[in-house]
Amino acid sequence: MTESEILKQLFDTVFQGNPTGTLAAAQHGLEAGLSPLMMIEQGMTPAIKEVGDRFGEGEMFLPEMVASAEAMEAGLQVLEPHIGQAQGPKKSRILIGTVQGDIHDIGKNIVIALLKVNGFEVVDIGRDVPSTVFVDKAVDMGVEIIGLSGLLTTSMPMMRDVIQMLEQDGVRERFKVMIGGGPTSQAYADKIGADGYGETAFSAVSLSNQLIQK
Amino acid sequence: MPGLHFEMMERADQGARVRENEFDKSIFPRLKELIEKYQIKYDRSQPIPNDDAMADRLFAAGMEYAIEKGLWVLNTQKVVHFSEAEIWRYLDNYHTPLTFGYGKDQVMLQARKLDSYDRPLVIGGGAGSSMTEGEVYVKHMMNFAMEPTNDMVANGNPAWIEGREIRPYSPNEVHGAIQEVGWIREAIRRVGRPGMPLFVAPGCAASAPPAVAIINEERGIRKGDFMYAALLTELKSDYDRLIRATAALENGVHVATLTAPMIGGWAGSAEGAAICGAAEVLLGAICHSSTIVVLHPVHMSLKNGATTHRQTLWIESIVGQAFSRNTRFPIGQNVFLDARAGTYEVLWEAAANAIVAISSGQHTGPGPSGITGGDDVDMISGIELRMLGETSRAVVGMNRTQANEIVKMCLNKYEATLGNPPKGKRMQELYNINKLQVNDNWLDMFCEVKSQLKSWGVPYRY
Repeated sequence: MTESEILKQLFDTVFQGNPTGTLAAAQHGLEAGLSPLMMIEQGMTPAIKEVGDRFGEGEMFLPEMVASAEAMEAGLQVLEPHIGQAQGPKKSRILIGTVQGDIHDIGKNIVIALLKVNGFEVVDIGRDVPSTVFVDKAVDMGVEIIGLSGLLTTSMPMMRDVIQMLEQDGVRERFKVMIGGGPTSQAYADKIGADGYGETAFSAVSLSNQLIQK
Repeated sequence: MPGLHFEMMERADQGARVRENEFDKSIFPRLKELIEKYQIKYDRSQPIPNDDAMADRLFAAGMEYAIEKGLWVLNTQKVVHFSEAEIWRYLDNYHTPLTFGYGKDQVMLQARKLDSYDRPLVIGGGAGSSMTEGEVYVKHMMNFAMEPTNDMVANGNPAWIEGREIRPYSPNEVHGAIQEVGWIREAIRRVGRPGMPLFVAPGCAASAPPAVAIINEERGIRKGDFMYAALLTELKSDYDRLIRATAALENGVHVATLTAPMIGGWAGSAEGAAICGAAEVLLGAICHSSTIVVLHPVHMSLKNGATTHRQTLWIESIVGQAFSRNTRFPIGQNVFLDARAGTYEVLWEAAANAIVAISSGQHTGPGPSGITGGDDVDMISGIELRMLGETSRAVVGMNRTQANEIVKMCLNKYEATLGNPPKGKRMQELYNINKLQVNDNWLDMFCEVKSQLKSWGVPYRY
């Protein structure tokens, strides 16, 4: 296979959400002596960006985006060990979950899929998560951002609890905290001392990008 | 009617474990096949489609998918399946009319046929909308109960209880839910409709215990009232929902099962969410022995759960039509509005949603609501319900073609700002709250919109 054929195969398999195909294409590329960084930047990344754009336009849907993110991850698992640390794309880690008392998680799942296709490493700690678990996991895993999601009005105090617990434990400065979900707002984020508020799943991505720059 | 909630309890713990992400990811591929097989097609020029054959095909697709897919249960990670015979046994033995409430305030539910003059129920309230507790909450509920079009009153969500936050799994959650229903009872007594039936999803109840605690003949939810038990999106349930349903049923309380198929989510496109929604109505009806299923399609792009997106209106319509034509089982069309009280947009949204519900052979509400929280409190008023109720009554009997044209004109009025609507005002700014009198400006806006709707063909008699 030529270089352009391999790049096209990487693009197509990520776009189509075919992890097995992406994995095979990445291995072919390595065997053919292609640069792993080039395969990521010119083959896989444009595909995942296309998926994200189409999702935004309502032309692709959550299951397709999740499949593409999985294909991207499969390709990265093959390629990243061959990239020098200084060269490799820096990925920020985000811990995200639905706060205690709330089992609505589809909004969180959409945010996770979008973050993944935008290059973030996401740790999903699920739904109805106690505040202590958010704090302990964030410290243990050394993430940069904590994402708190909730749909119910009653979930909102739990968001504030997580931030207070971070402060009480003396680790607040280690993390950026962002919130989102139906009843939340920028005003509420400001009130509880969150670092940001994502009104939509897409704004959660741009917010994450801003937060890691700070 | 005895449904299959016993079977649901039994089967929730049987069979092989299915991981949640496997279940989620398997939804859309099969829906794509069913969209093709049953030729389900969304047409943006037809928020209210006039295609009986497609409505019937959607029902068949929903039935096939419900049988095949079943409901995934969070606690056990197992999938509960029901057969087509079991579903029909429930639907065919379901009977109307059913009567709710007491004394002079009783109302009757009947199955509605398309293009018929069958009287719809209007269920008015603000579930999901954050409200100031105590006397202000009572005023909100009085405002809803005073609307003569309103058949049942639905709750709002108290923002605090006794000045304290409502924390999940806390005793204050139980106390809050009991207070909440007490305030609703106080409100309907004060407006002279003490026997009005209640339709309640306690805003204080993130968990099951408070929902169970409000079942109380003296001052809580009584026989003949309604309790919510929602399915989770998509095609999921858990013990919490089953506990609510079981407690309600065994105390003579009707169960209303909420389903919320999402466009852009696991079900994919509008067509996929419509098939998924039809399947969820069937499964929601039987798994909780429900008296009514409330359909609440949501669009991924609207964070506060508005049902007034063009595509969600289409789902409410086509699923409503499918059930009106193929069963006698009633659907309530949830009405969640994107804009807030005090704006023109909120009135156009309410009118559009009412027209869709009624012309599609179903019932209006609960509504009008919208998810609010934090400092965004009391952003709802009785005028939105007046628009919802009066429009619902006026369009009974309107054919789908005419209804579709009017809804499109409504959409032209609010679609451009959907997702980023004007801020709106609190009820306290729109009313003399002591007397519960709407101020002139807000009433004039209502009359202006109603006058425009009348000129388009909505036959209001007053």
